Amino acid sequence: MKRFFLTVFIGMLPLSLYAQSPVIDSLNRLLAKAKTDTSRINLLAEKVSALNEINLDSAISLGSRIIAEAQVINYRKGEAALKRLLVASYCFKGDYSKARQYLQETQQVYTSLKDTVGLIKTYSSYGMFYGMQTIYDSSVIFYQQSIKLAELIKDEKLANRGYQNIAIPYQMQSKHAQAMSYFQKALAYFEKKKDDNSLAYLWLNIGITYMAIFDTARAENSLLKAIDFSRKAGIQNVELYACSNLSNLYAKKDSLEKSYDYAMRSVALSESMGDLGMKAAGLSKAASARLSQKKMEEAEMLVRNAIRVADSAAQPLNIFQANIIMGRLHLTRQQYAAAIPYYEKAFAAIENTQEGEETTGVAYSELSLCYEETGNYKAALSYHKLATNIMDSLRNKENVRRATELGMSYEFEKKQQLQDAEKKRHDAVTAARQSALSIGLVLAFLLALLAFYAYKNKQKANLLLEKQKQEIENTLNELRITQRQLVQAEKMASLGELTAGIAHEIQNPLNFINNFAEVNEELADEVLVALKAGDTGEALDITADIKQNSQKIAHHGKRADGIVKGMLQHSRTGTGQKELTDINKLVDEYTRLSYHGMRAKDKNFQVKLLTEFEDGIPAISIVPQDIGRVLLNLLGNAFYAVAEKKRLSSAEFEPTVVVTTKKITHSNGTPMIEIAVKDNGNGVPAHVAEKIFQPFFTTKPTGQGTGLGLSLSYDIVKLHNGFIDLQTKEGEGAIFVLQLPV
Amino acid sequence: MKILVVDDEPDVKSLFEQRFRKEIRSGEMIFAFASSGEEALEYISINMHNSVLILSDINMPGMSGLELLKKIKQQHLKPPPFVMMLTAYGDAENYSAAMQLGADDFLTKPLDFIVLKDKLKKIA
Repeated sequence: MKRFFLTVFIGMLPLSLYAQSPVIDSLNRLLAKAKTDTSRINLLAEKVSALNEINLDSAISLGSRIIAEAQVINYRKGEAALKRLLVASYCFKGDYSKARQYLQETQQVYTSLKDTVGLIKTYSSYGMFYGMQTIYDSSVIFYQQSIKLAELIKDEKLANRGYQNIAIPYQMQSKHAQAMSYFQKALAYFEKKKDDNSLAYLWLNIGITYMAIFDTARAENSLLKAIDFSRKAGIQNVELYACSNLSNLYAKKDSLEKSYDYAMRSVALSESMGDLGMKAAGLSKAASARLSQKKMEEAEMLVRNAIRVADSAAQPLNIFQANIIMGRLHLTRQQYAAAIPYYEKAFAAIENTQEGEETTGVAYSELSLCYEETGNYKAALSYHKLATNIMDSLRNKENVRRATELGMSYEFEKKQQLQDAEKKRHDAVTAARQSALSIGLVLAFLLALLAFYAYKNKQKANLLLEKQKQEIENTLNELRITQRQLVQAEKMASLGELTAGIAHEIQNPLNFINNFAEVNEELADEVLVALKAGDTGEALDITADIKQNSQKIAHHGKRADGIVKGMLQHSRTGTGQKELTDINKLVDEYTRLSYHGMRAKDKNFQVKLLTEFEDGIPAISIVPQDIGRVLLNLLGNAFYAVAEKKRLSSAEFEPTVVVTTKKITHSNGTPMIEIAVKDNGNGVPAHVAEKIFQPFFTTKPTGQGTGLGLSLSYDIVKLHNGFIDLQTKEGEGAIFVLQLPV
Repeated sequence: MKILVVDDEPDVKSLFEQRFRKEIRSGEMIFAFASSGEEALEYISINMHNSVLILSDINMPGMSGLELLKKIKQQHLKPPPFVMMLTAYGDAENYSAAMQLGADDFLTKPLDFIVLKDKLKKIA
């Protein structure tokens, strides 16, 4: 429908030239001089027609008022003309029931007045009415009616406008041969009239049709003509669409430099016209060309621009295009994880308008690849299935198109061909009559044969399809089983890692406890020997050693205790009760708790602690102690990181920790609450970031961290169906982002 | 006999000094301590001419004990220094990694100093 709207709109644009405000001004001047009521109403009708191109609501309100005036003086023709004008307004606004009512009333009036021109226009409006609702069959029928009448009263202009209009629903139904023949008819007329304006529109539409049937050479030729005529007529919009289509065409031919040039021309044109949607489309095409040329930097700059413009134009298709190209750019650089959000954003944009097009299919399979490379096989599989579905249905459509168009020729040597066609038709009618009967018999027999053959073939194909379907289902089942096994294996591995870690880690403090205890036993004996020998000095020295050793024993005993407690905490997650919790309050409480904890440990510790809490965050159902524990871990780490940097760097460094909360929508569409803890410490190197959520992984010196904090946090967040993630750049600090579902 | 102990935990120094106090007092053993692999390499480069016996932990921040072992064995010192690994992680994987890199012996924590002393005396 979008394209229909666009093409029809373009078809109507010659009218819109009158719609500039000077036209309305001059109409207003004429109105002031209007002597009779009917001439006033006729002028006002012209004003409504002009307003239709500027502001639909003003057109409707003015139109409705004048309809009432016309009814008062019983000026039925004026009333009908206005109602027909408002049909277009209501169609553009999407109010089809009102549009239908006016169409029926208009038709009645013109029929009773025997006003043929009025009826021709009414039928044409019917054509548009159905076309915009994508009911192309009815649209064609009404346009045919209007053409028939126009030809009957020999109104060349109306007939040719009809040819131009009827071609569009034909084009939308992929009946390219019919569309083309009507375009050619109109072309002959407007060439005779030397109407550059209409010729520009026609060549554009012809070019688009040639592109649809993959006749690249003729398409190129037609679009270049469209550019010539649009320049002569001074209509930038046609030049813009022609450049845009040429860019597509050259991209298909792999003439990338030309594709880029025309894309940039379309960008310049759309900019001067203020058409943001087309500007975004142009930038996307230019980026795509540069990407294919492997000029990555330039492509990235263009596509960033395209995304920005598309977002401000708020056109789903443009947002889709731009983001797909950004995704593809990352994919080409093998940055699979970075590509994913762009693809997701692209698909989210066209969720409601989606139609299975080739680009969509290709993009789905690219996204599937990204998920596969990042290890998310489940998502990879589901996107792969989407891609296959679209490609299959496209292949079917393509086969149908090939079959119907086979043998049709699109070569139109206009004038000569018109004569040929006339002659042939005449001959054919005579010949047909004579051979109709015999051909009919032969045909009937052939048809029966064909039907039988087709039936057999179809049966065979169905069997094959059934077999393939079974195979795919089996593969899918195997994949599901493997996935379950993998998940289970991962759980077991993490449990094993945990126990192995505990068993080993506890040996370090035990080493000191056992050995210092034994040393103390020996030293106690030595004290006794010294005392017996009366050497009090030696005895005192040894006693001091004994005391120091027992302090060490106690210290390492506590260390062992900490390790075991850490593990118990780890295994105990999930026993608490979920309750509705005010996140801002919880975060505030634990931020302060953590800060004071740090201050208690180190009185000299100074940090700039900032909080940015978004208002109106809904209460969510969580286990508050567990999420609190996560927050304590994240904050503890942040404080530790900035304290370390302060310890090792200059006095100018100001340790800063920022805690933020906000509402977000996750890329999978669920509303979530995000808590972020950001520090300006030294950041985390990539090889550490990889393992940071593993149990017993720590970068702190021995004895200062158990290596269980983040692993525990990870488990808690997973149990809440949330996400926890680290964003960091070495030397520039780290952000831990925690997302919990609402 | 000169012995270099490499471990990131500071209490190790005190433990060894007390456990070997008789040997130290008699001059039978001389201990040196390094708290990281990097520090140990520096010590070895300065004291290359003396034959040194090295006891090294494995899990240390920065250079791990295994990396240290690899570097020492790559230097082809003559005579090749004797390197013994001391670790809390006595699993098969860690053991075979140490052996492949040319470790001369492998003891697990908590250390049995009677066994350790025995081994050291045999080498001397």
